[in-house]
Amino acid sequence: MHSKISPYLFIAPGLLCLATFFAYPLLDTFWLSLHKYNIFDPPEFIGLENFRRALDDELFWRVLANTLLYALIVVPSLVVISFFLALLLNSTLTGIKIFRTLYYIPVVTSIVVAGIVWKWIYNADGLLNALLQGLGISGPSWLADARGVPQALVEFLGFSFSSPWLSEPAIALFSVALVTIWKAAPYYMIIYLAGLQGIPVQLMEAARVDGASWWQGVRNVIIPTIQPYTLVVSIIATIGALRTFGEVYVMTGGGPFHRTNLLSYYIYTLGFKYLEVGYASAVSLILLAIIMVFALLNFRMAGGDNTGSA
Amino acid sequence: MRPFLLLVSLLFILTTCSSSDHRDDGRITIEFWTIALGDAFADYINGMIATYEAQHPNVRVRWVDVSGTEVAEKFLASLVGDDPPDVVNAYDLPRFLQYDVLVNMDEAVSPADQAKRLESFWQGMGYYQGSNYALPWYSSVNMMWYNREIFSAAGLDPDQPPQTIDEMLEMGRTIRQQTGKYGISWYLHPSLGTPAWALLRLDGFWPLFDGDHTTINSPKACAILQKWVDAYKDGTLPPEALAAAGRDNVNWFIEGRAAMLPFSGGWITRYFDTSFEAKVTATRHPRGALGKMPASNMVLVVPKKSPNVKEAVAFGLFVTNDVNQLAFCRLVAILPSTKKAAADPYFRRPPETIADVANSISAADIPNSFVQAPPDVRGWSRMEDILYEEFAKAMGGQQSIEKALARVERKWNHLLHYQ
Amino acid sequence: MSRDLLQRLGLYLVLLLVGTVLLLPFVWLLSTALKSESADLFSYPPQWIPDPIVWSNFVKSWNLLPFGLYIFNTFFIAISTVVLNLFFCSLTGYALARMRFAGRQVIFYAVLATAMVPFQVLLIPLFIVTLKLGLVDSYAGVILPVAVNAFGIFLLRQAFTTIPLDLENAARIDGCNDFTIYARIMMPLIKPALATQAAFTFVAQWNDFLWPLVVLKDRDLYTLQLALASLQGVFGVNWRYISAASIIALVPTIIFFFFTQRFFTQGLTSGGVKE
Repeated sequence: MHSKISPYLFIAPGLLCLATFFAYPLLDTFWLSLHKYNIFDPPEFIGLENFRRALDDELFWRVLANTLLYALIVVPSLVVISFFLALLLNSTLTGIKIFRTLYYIPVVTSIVVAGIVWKWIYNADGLLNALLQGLGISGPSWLADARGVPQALVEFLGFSFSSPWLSEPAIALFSVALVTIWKAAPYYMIIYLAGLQGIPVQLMEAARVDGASWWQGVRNVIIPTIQPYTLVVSIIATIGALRTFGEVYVMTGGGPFHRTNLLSYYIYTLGFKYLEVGYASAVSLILLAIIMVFALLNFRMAGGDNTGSA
Repeated sequence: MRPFLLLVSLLFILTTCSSSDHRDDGRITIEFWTIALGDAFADYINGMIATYEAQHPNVRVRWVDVSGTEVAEKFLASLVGDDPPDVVNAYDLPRFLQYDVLVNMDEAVSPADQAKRLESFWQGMGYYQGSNYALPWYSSVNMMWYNREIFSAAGLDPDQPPQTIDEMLEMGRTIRQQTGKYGISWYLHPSLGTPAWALLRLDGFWPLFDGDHTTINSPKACAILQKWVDAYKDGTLPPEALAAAGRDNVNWFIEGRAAMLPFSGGWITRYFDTSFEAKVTATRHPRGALGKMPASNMVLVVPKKSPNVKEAVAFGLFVTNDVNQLAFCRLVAILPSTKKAAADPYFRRPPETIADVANSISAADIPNSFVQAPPDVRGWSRMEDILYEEFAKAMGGQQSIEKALARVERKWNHLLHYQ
Repeated sequence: MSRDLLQRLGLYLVLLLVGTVLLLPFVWLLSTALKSESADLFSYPPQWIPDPIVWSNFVKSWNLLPFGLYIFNTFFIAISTVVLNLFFCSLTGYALARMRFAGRQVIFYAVLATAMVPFQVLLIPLFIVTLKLGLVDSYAGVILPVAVNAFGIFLLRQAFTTIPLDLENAARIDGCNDFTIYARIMMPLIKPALATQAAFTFVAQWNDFLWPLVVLKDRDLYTLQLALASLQGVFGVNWRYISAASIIALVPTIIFFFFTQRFFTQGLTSGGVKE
């Protein structure tokens, strides 16, 4: 039918690129993680020492905890909020298309611009605190406060009880998570919208005829039907959350006291600031493992692919 | 389709082309990086280069002025990338010293030329585990400004400024209690001013390492830092002393919100209006147990990878010699790091303005100064961050200074172990 | 009737409220950029409409930084990436969709697997590879590593599979070779998918930050995002300039987005929607 070699010619450029800029570095990460390397001196084989070091490294555990907490805040929020946004925009009001377009803007702005804006809003004398002051609340320094959110709430309610249990997550981490949610929600909203628009009208009508309220309709008809979309959203959101870098770089630099230091950022500083390439590679592999585990967990929790489409 | 392919290949070629600047006309090109000397000192630098080129017809100097925030990253990248400059005005030295990428100046420079440099500066910023890897350039020695009006208001004699660190902290506390104003405009962040390790050195606790472990977790170090923690807690130091932010320390003093300002010299007077000038006096920087005042020093380094090491070192020595440093000092209130220049009567000329007074105080204290160079240990940049954090937590009352130093000790030893 | 009206009004209200939350930061950014030197940025209550409205912040920050150069760099890099991306991904996608060859399934799954590994994991070895190839501090260094991505290959492959086989067979009977079929027949037929991929790639590359940060050291090659991120060193904490500069960086994106927005909403949902 077609010449024997032309398929290979077709895939050659793409595969060459992927091999050079993806496969090779990936293999290199594995190799480097077993070495001590600072780019200037030749790599020195040290076996699993880098991984042992991670176990021993207080900062690594701090960063790991931050990253997991962060994902725990961001992913469920995104799954839920984007869903409700999609419900909201799944109407036939005139001008709804304009709303959908406008809502998407945070997604297409660069993380640098978004980070700068939010850093400005989060300033101790900034917009957010000004708005809160209107409500009589005195807001904290959102990106510089290392107190835990639970701790701050307790104090806000007037108690002076303090406990290490209340120190996670840090207010600053929470603030960073908020920015991620703000920026990504419309993206997932569009995915949910696609799912909602695929639901046959008859299903909803049947539920209404049965006397179900709006919320019951949502719970019993819509949510189960769009389960594959929920799965996609939660997996992409999980992978995205665990990879977060820009927000930290632009807004906090990992501070205060490393309370917003996330794995991606830690890897970056290890590799490029401290030139500890071997150790950075080991931590990268740990990040990769975590992502795979979480993606798998997500897959299971969102119901597996018993209704998988596409 | 064909135009599309053409476009693709054109783009490919364009993007892989990089401008190359190879040697031309047989002369050796030396690339010289300075930090933010740009427009203000272009004439001076160009003049210096012209003189050198005239004396050395086989050498061409290409001057590149880099912004302060970029230079360390850019230098590091150039070292990794095999195309380094030849003479670099670098800071953040520990990062480069630990990788053995700089030329050893103890070996590259003749004893005669070495002897022309003041020893405290020769063994200063570029010193690493027994050898010196940098050529000292211009420097500054700290002195102190203080506000006589606030002193009087606090019941202190405005003609008796503090002589020692302890006196300074004591008077600062009095000022705070009596007038509610800050005692001392002091900076504690590593990137500016005097970080915790420098406070230790000021009071004679040095070195911080002994072989493969750190000595910082000791009662003596705790006692020294406790003084500063107390000063922070009772408001002698402003709350922002820990954060790094522009010219805040200058602003607090100028606005009359702080009574004392340790500083590098007279150029701050451009912010004084005449009424303020009448209130302030320049005096010597208070001494700690070490008995010396802090000095800072800009240096020139030569990467080993430079293709013209000999010429680069020669040019570096030229830039940092007595004549050129003195000429530089006449243009702006900085100090030299060479013996003859430092002894020049120019620095003892009768002062015409209070800026001159400040500068002459600084100059007179050159022999009593020590260069605030960090410990020469591998992985120092991380250690500095760790010390800053634990110290900041102690300042903020989140932990005792003993706990802070214990944690520093643990983390530092951990890092040392893995270096 | 009136209940329906009430419901619709209520819906509009909610839509406006949510929209405000989503877009408020940009409004505030613009407001700050238009404030004069003497206007208090931290006034309480916050001043939304500056009085007076000044444009000098835009002028000053435009003059202080070579924005023209940065926009050119970013534009050049983005367009080049799109061109190469469309080319390479479509070639690979077509082969995977329509050609039979040994290892096709394996390669397909391998390509999909690459989507799982995040960029950050590869960052450092990728930098070393780029370094060894001499591509650091060059446009090519920014473009080539992202010229091919699994998402693009997958998207275009899916698009190719929707084209009826008959068209291809007819062309082959006419004596066309593979490349001609690909170029003259298949590509024009998947224009919507190509446009979608182009839009996504352009925006992604325009906004990309981490990779240019690592690869580019020469300020003259900086992209817009990189320049923006480094502003805090240049402008200190001058929020007026930083806001103005951010808006300058934002405007091209917004304009581009409004012209191509249907591709964004379409692209994400193609493959599952009953339109």
